Amino acid sequence: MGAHASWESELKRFAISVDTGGTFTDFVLLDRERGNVTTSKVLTTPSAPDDAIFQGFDQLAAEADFELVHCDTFLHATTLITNAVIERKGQDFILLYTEGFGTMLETGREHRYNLSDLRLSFPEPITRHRLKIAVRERVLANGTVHEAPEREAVVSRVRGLVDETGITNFAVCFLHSFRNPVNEDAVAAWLAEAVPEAFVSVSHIVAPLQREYERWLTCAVNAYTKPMLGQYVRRIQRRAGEGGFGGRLMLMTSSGLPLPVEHCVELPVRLIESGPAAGVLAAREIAARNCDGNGEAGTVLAYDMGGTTAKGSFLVGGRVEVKPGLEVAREGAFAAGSGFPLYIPAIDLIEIGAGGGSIAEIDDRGTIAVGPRSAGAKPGPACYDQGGESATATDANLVLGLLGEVNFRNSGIQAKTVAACDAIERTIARPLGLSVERAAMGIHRTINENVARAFRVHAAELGIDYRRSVLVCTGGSAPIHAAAVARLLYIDRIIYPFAAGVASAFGLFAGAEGISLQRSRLIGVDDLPEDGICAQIADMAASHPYAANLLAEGAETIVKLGMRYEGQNSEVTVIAGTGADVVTPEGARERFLAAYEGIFGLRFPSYSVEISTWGVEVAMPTPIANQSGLTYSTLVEGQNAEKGTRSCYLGDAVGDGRVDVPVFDRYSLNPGWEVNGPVIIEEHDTTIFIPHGTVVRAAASFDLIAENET
Amino acid sequence: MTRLSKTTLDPVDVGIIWSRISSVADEMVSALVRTAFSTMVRESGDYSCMIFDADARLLAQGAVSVPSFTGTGPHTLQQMLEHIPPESLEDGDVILTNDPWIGTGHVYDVNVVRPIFFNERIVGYCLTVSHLSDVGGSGMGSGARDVFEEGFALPPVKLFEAGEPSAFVFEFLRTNVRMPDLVLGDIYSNVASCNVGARGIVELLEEHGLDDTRAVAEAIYEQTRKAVQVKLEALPKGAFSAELQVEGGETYPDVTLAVTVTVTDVGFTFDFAGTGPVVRAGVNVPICYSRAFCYFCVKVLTAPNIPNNQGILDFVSVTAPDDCLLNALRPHPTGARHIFGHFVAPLIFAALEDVLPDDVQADSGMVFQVNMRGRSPAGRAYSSIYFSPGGYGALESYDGRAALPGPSNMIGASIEVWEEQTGCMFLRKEVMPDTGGAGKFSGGNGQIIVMRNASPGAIEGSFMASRTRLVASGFRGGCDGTARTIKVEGRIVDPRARVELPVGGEIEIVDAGGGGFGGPAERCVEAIAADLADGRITRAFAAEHYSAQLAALEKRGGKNA
Repeated sequence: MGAHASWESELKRFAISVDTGGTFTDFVLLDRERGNVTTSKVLTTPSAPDDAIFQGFDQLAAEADFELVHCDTFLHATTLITNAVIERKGQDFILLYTEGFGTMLETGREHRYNLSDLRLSFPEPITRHRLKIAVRERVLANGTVHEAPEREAVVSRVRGLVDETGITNFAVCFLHSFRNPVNEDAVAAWLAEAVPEAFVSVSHIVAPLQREYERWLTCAVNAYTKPMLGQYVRRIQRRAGEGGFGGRLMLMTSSGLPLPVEHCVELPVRLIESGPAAGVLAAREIAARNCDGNGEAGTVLAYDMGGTTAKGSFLVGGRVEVKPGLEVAREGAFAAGSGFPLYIPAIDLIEIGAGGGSIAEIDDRGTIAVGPRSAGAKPGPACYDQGGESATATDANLVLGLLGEVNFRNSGIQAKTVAACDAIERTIARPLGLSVERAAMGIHRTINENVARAFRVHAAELGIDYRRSVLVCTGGSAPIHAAAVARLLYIDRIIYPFAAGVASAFGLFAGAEGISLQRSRLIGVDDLPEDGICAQIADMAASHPYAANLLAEGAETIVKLGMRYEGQNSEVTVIAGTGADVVTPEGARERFLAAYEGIFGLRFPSYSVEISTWGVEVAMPTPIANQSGLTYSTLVEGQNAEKGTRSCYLGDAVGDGRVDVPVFDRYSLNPGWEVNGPVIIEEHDTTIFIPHGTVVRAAASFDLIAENET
Repeated sequence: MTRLSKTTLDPVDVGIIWSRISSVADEMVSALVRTAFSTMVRESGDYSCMIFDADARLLAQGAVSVPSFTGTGPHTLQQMLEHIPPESLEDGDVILTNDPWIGTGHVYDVNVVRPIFFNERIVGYCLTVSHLSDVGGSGMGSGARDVFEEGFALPPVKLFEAGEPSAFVFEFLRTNVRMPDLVLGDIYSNVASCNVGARGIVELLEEHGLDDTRAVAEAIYEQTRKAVQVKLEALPKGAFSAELQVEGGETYPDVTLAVTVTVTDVGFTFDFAGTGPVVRAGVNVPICYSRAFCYFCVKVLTAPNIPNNQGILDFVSVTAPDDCLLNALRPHPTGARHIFGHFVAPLIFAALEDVLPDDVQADSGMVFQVNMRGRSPAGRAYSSIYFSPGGYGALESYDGRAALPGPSNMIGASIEVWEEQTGCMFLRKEVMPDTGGAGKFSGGNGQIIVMRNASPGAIEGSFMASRTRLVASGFRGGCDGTARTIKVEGRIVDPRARVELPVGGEIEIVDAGGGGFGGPAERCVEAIAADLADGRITRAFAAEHYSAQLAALEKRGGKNA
């Protein structure tokens, strides 16, 4: 299991990555023999996502001679788990819980996430009242066993409920199990004996952190999706096996570390947001390949925007920020606190309801609001002329001239500017007494501001100075807004990667095999011996067989400590070292004081400092597959072709009139090409807008790099 | 960067700048919460952050707060500026007070203000309020006979002068509180939050090429006024009254709260005439606190989706006789003013029950609190408040949720964290079926909580609760929720009792349910089937309150079987 064989020597011709998204399934095929990369897309098949995968493989077989038998690595990011939770399509499970605490997962945080709305909706619980078994057992806060569970009592109740319901999927959730797992482990073992076909999720294994609601919920979500992932993986393995596949199948986890499939089936909850995690890795690679050879990655802001949501993530010094939890399935329009808070190591992403399909309306304030409601693919923006009545960001961009009708045809859409004008006139311009162009500019700017504001607030929370960062934009809707968003954030450099549409699939290759381990243990820094941090970390790694195995194969570690002043509750994450080079407790205190001061501008040198969360990331030193030196098979030699000009309304920037803006074809731009904005660059499925005062050039990587004049 | 002259603020600009100001207020909240030491702030949401224009009018209030701080800011700031006039302020000054009548009604809340300077002029103010762990005195509770027993009260004073800390004020604080590190940590937390706000506003002005906040402020108030005016026009006009009783304590009787809400073409007036007199216990309510709940109700009813600002507050005026319980004057004790003060919201909803039936909420179970003081297993002295929210009252088309606070808004504590920090051990914490009121829409259930003192020493507990006799009323035919019971060592105690819990001693709380909305006979069969399947009600409860529907359900079940 999981032996990280030195597969450098076993490299075959192909490596393939597959990112299943809501609309498309994206493919990136590395062909080491031809030294090139082929990308592909097929429509996602939601009821059986593996169908799209194998359709895509057939397509790649025809286009690029792809054969599974000559493929050593199959990487995959999936929306399966996220969708199962959001759409409540998981499987029932029996919850075994500490007696006396049977409604924990229904009452949650006992908090209204919006003060002014008396009728808040909360996520529908995934537990069932009749599928609960109270277990008499108790571990105390200090880890001592107050009461051990009784085997006979547990097994007979389990047998009874299994016989009655036929359900053999279990979640075991006891208090303080993160501190001492002995009671949970005992019950889990009895379940496996009593019900041999059982799926068992155990809270201290799934999420070994303090706070019962979040840990139990994470375990419950794991149980809810475990049988489904098992079936899905078996189908893929069978079909790939039929094609002769003998390589490694790995799935991307939310922390950006691809995990071998045999471990994933035990921890499906860790696959939530697996596609976006891959997208952030892609941004890291894109920034790295364009860093002008000085090797300094600096801070990167990964900005992705599609039809419905915009996501942002900061990478400092080329490193992704991984936080110990995330919230999914929010009920109230992206409102924090309205969803399921899960304890899984996850790449830090801020997500807001802003995208091309975001609907513009006049809110209760009497001003323009855009999003989070989206027109989606159906009916879509008004300009699609498929019955959409609402004006969207895409409609505004079309009216402004930033988008052109013709380019929509690549996606099979006959866009109509007239319909967009009409929607904006009717819903925004006339009620506010504005011209249609000014209203459209208002919508465009509101999106820019919403995105910039979310990123600004997020950077403040992380204590990151974003002003010197590089913005990497991906997704169909980001390139038209990216330059403006960058200006609002005082960011000077924007990278528009080649093949941005399949960025997440590219990002899958950029991950290094590994796993994040977490532990909650509150210890005062003063109470730790000189080697105390090292010892905790070594113990965590040693007690996890897969991590230990990776370490034996040459994996590296990064130690991250959640620290705070004694008496506080919010942690600041401090990197306490890598490999064998881990700081002493005193060193950790110094790093914490500095980090805290960096974020909050305060330093309390005499206060006690404690470590509450211990994290260690164990990962191989190199990415799964090396993409460097490969060229794009789709690239055609071109002549930097200008397609013509388009009349654009650029409002505030250069006065109120319309301006004729040159339009270029992305695929004809060669390294060295450079022009001053305003300019529009069209790709098949996206459009880049470079405003006045910004210079854009094509880099050797074929990525486009824009610089704002300062 | 786009430069705007003040004359070109159209709805596009206003919307963008307004959102940005709201976001700065939310950043202040984030900074405050994440640097807080007080459990009241970090776990209970007992704080608020606000931004004002140069004339001390409310521009924005952080969205996350508790209702009792809604709109208190303008009065606080005005009074602070009466003590320390704007002319005497310079950049880097920070002023502070915990005077209950200037701030938010009790000495535990500290109010911290920083003027925002831009081009050497004051363009606005940041204000933060947060609940301190200690202010000396007798500790959080309702036992004091006057406000002096409850702790020190600092009048508005400069905490920082031009960026330099006032040695005297810091020494004063350090000398007068039990947990100086926590308290001073929280003071700094408020200052950090104000700094975030001031920096955010200055950056915004620079980016948008504005000289001050005036033009934007006027536009925000004007657009808010227009929006509220539209809602107001649709409301029935007239004077609407209600009364309700709130439980007294061992030393004072039940108290009547009364309100007359007058809705006119120009706004809302709230008159608390008819409310009983102040009592000799720390449950009296300064008017600033009563007023906050008036603002809260008006905001919820007329402008739920508009960020709070002066434009909403200006529609509200509040009067109350001196030294009635909802307008307690100095020096009556006010430590647990929230016990009675929280009832202002259901009181107003009761007055408007027949006027705005689609908008008002039936009574909730009201929050249970116990302030516990002892030593943690690690030997550290602590003073922490445990909250339990009770059941949420139902509304038209909305079943009340179990264990959800209303009108106040705390956050439930983690059992594992609470046990580790206090040495208490929970034996039980789960929803009690049948405690919420039946109705077309049902009231939320309360929980049962059993806690044992497993620490090495006695724990001092101070209860601040109600609804042990006077239950949450159902609205428009809905049934009442059940009463709360509080037992210490098996014996029922007064909801304001101060007790010593010996080692091994147990506290049991069965929380009050929320009131139902609309007659139980109108509740649909499917909802009752779900209530039974999900364990919210028992069959016996269904037989008592929903007999016709239960019969239909069982007939249907019989057929299926």
